[in-house]
Amino acid sequence: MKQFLLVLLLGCAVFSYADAPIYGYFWCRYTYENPTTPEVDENEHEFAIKRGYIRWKTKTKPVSFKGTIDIAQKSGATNKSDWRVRLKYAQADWKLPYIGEYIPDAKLIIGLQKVYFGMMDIWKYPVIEKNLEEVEKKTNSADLGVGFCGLLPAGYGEFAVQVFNGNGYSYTENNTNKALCTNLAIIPIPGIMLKGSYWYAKQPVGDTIITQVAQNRYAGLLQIKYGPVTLIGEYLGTEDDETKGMGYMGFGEIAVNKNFSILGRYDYFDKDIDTDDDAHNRVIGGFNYKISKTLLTQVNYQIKMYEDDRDSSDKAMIQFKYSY
Amino acid sequence: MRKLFILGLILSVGLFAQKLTIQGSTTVLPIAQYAAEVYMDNNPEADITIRGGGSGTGIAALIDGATDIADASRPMKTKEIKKAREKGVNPVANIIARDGIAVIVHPDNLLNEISKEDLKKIYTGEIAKWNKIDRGSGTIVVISRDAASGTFETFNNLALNKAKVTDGALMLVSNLEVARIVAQTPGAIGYVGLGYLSDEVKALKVDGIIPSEETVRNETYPLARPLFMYTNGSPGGLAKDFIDFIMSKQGQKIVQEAGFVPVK
Repeated sequence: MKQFLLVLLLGCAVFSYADAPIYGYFWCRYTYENPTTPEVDENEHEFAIKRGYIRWKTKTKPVSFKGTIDIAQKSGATNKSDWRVRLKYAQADWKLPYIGEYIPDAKLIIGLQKVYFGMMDIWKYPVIEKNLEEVEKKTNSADLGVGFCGLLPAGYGEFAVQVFNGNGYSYTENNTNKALCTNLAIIPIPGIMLKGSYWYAKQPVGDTIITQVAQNRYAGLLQIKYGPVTLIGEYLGTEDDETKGMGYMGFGEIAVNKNFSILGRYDYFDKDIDTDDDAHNRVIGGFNYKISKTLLTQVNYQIKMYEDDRDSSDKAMIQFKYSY
Repeated sequence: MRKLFILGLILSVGLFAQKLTIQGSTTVLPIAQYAAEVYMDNNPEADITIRGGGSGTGIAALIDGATDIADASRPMKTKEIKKAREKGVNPVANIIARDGIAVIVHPDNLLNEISKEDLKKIYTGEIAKWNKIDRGSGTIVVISRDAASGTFETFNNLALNKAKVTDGALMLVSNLEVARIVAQTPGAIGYVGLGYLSDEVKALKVDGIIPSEETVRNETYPLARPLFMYTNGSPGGLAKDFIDFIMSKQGQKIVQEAGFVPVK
């Protein structure tokens, strides 16, 4: 913790000097959970700072820098190492001088960066749960590598091609292959976005790098925004060697007014379509209330139901998101 | 009975009041304010709220549905258009006037003319003394608009080819403030919209062309730009009426009286 504070202090000094404002969020959550695990007798409930982001960004040209320190309480931890501090993003964005004449906002992103895949880069946590691919642990939200991104002319969408280590931002590289991620989002008419993403990697089996298996991920989504209504439908396909999985998510939000909205989400995920009784559903309902520009309250109830004979598990959450 | 009548009148005005919010560029602000005053005098049921904040702020408000009209002194960026389309907003540009960005110095400054090349050198910090430009002496005090303003964006594009403004520049939040500081500082150079020119500052010719209504209209002045009112889709209701009013003969006269160049 001392090291973290020292790094934070030094970071603040350096970035204040470099005219890089510091901003971010903290999510404080109360969770009341009914677990299905037989060894836990009692319902669990806790207050936790589930996540905190400290962010900074320089406005330098043609290369700008941005970073995010991710602070979170470890789930279920009880000793003094309860806090986990990680670097989530640390990237240089280089606006490409010549290509930029033809491709709006064309840039090369170097470093620890956002993964442009499926809902990953557009999910702003309207409900408390992570997006489908992340909650099912099928992709990571950030990774270390190089990306080429840009916009389609006249705001008709965006694209990204990225090459990563493939292990996410929490781990160092442990294989010899790189992961490839491609993404294309098209907005043919205002309010309608079609998005397709593909991820390919070879991942080691267990602790050895000798045996590596192909890993494929596909995602396709449709987002509709019309007035106060937002609807999103996403399909996710996964292949890990011979195992094929699939899932989908449906999400809806109605903004009753500018501060209050009602939300619902349905997930289905089958990790192996050739095996019976290994799928599950997730249903989430709730509302968001914006108390002020810097404080959002989220109230969610979610239930996870299994295809096998396990009991369903459910939890209720109240979360406060502070922006600063 | 009289009280009842007055109460009824107040209630009916309240019930039938049409509201319009306008936010954005401080350059367009005087046109919007002046036009709104005249429009509301002619249409008492209209309730128009106007805020500044800069082009970027106004465009962000239009994208978030927080304003009906976004005033902008620059065209929307592709990134902003993409964000708007993603959120179901279809930004439509309505050009309501033209403006020239006048380069200004203190009235005692001997300089009358500047080239775009020298202007870029001054604003990027390559030239720091007046004697490198002309007969003047002393250090050049570089005054700029803040990076969030449309005036900055346009000046940065047209005069500096997007080069970075020197760290030594004083970044000010409004055209009025730039004009005021330049008027008070003998070694200063700044830039403002045509509407902010006065006898207290001296406007320089740029590449031999004086900033004027005529040179902006005929597009010979190199630092000229259109001024926009962006709406979500083709304007309708009160937004349409208000923009139609600005585009009318009376509205374009207001544009001219505010110091800008009419488009009609």
